[in-house]
Amino acid sequence: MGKIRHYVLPVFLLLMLACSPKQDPLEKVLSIREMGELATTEFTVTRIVKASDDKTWYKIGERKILMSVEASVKAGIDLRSVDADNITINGKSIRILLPPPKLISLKLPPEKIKVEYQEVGLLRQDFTNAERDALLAQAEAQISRDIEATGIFQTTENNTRFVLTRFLQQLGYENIDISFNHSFLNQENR
Amino acid sequence: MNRLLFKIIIYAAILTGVYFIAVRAQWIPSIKELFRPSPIVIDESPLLLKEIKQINELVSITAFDEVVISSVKPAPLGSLRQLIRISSPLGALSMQRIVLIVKGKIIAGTDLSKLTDGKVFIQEDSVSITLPGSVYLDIIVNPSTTETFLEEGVWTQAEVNALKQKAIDKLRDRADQQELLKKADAQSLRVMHDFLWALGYRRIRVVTE
Repeated sequence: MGKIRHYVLPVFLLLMLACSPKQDPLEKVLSIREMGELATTEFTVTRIVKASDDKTWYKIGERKILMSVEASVKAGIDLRSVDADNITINGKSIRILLPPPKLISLKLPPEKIKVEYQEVGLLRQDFTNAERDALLAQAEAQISRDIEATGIFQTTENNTRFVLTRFLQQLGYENIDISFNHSFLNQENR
Repeated sequence: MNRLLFKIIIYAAILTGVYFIAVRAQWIPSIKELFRPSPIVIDESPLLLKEIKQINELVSITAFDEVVISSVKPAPLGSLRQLIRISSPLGALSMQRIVLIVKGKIIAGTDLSKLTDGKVFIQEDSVSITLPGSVYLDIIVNPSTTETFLEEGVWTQAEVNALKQKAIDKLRDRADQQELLKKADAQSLRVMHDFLWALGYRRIRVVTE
């Protein structure tokens, strides 16, 4: 009996350790990339994310979810690819050939993600955060794919022209001609 | 009796062999595939344009970082977890827990809309520009770069959103520790210097406020 008592405490401690919550994973270090992009346009778009989970044959009942997301998309040009070969100066006149506009960032702010409606069958579980994030990741890919159709690049060309014209006027130029070299399109990935 | 048992074993072995060959040849699905849940695919829906804004930002640094963020809350009333808490000394087991691994993108640079006429001086081929100091233009935490490492219990979207906001604050703190804005300042100066050089200026002075 004494021997059993002797082992009770270590066994209890071992059980406590085994049942203790998982350790958080380690964080990775920051990696930095130098850029040189001039962002001139910000589009705010919204999308409804609609999904039904009724395709798995052995799960009885269905689940439906309706979420709304807002995305902020920034576009501009890569200023580093503008060199002296793309610029012609003649007194107070200047001509600049710029690379075509491209997407700079796509952000889905967490506070703009909302579950609008959810319907879960009696024998089913609620959508988990992992499942919701997987659906939102699909929406993110769709936004990235469809954003060009909103005319963002045309607007970015106009905005870039306006912003650079103002800057060049500050530098004293009077006749300013800015155009975009769309032959870059095949070389650069938008 | 022994002969019957032998026959059953032989037939079972043959059937198992045929099944494995059929699965290997992809004639029939494996048991694992049979019970794999179908992926949930979202429906196509239109993209609605809410706002168009003109900005003037020089993006000079993009940093990629990863933070771990977690939260714990008590199980709701009447749930199985709450019953465990009442009936067991292991109170920790009754808590609901979530751990997210968030890969964030920190974009820093200069807000050129604050560059006023008074900060630009020109004389022949000399130019002097005082740029506004660098700021965090965006800290991006998107669903595609967020991994749910652990999820116990039910977590609403609002609770997860609050947690992701904490991740954004943590990403900003880590960027501050790495003096990211100083690096962004240096890069903004370099980019502006190169652009002015391409414009034909040979004596260039670019500083930040």
